[in-house]
Amino acid sequence: MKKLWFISCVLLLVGGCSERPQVTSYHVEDNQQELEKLEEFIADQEKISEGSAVFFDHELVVTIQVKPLSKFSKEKITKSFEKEVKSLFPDHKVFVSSDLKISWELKKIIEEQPEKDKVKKDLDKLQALSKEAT
Amino acid sequence: MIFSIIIAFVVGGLICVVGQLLFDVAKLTPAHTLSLLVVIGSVLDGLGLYEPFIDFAGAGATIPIMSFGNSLTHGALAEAEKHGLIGVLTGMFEVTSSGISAAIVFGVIAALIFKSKGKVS
Amino acid sequence: MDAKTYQQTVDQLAPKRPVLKNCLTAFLTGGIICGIGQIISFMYMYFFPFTERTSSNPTVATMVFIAMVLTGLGIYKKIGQFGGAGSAVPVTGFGNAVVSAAIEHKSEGFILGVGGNIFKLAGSVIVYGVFSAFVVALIKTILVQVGVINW
Repeated sequence: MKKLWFISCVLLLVGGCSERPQVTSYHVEDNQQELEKLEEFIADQEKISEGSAVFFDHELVVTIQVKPLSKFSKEKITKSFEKEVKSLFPDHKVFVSSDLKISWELKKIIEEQPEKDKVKKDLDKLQALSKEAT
Repeated sequence: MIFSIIIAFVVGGLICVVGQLLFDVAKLTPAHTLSLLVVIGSVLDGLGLYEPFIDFAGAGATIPIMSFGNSLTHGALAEAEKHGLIGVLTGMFEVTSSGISAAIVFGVIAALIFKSKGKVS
Repeated sequence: MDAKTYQQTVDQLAPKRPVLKNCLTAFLTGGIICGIGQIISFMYMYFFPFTERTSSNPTVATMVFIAMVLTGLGIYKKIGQFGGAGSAVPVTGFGNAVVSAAIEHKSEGFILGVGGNIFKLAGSVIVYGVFSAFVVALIKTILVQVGVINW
């Protein structure tokens, strides 16, 4: 019984460490090229466990989840990720967040797949939420 | 998500073990121990280490009393960054009031509702 | 006998503290309290518009509320006897100190009793928390303005 518990713990840990990031994304204007470019970039990130992105009218909102054991340097990872995404898409206004709640909200938006006007409102609400300090 | 709860459990437990060692080995009173832990939290935030610690351990870092020291210092530093030296005094309680306010409010409410347990001789 | 011999005698005769057992119970108690806090934090994030960063505020307030209820019912005392530091170090211990002081001094009246004594146990935490925050922030601000380090 103890052996089984030990082995499953090891498997879980190893499994959590070597999975490639899962990406969900949504492009309002259906530009597959930009979507694939971003998905490939996120999939190469070692310290990120999942990512979500919404492209809209030269704006890009990305949320990432950092792997639990790397969470101590979450801020640094997010900042370097933001810099690299900005250089990847220089003509887009990029917003990156690593907050769990922002990730959930963005995934909800991706599932809904709303139209242009609603997307703008939702994304603005999201960015305002992430700026709250108290 | 479950992993976060486990990490919170372990980290919170370890901080309490440190507190227990201060009780038993260093023979400090609870007031001394808690004050020391708050000061440690404050110093860790000055060094920029407590916020990454919160990112890692979640509630394991925000529930122990050390987080009081962290939020007081964090508020002071945030205001000082914006307004200079005076910000050190003005910013302290800006982001931190929930624990202390809640304690005072619920203390008064409890005094209204509950009966004293002490025996009057 | 002189003071030194007296102290030695007291140390010899005082009951030995079971340090390892205390650490284990403190680990369990503190860990469970923080684990519950993490669950409450996730619930606030899921059901309300709180982000990871802002969820600690309602979580701490809720934990203090739970501490108030447990203190008023006399249960927190038992948790304290079992867990030692595990019940004093989390913010629930702070809440318990404030609430129990308020309840105990109710008999002396609300202004003098409750108001005057509510911080009897918890006051040093607030005083030295504020003071150390002041010193740390002052030192860091001066170092930044002199140019030794950056924000």
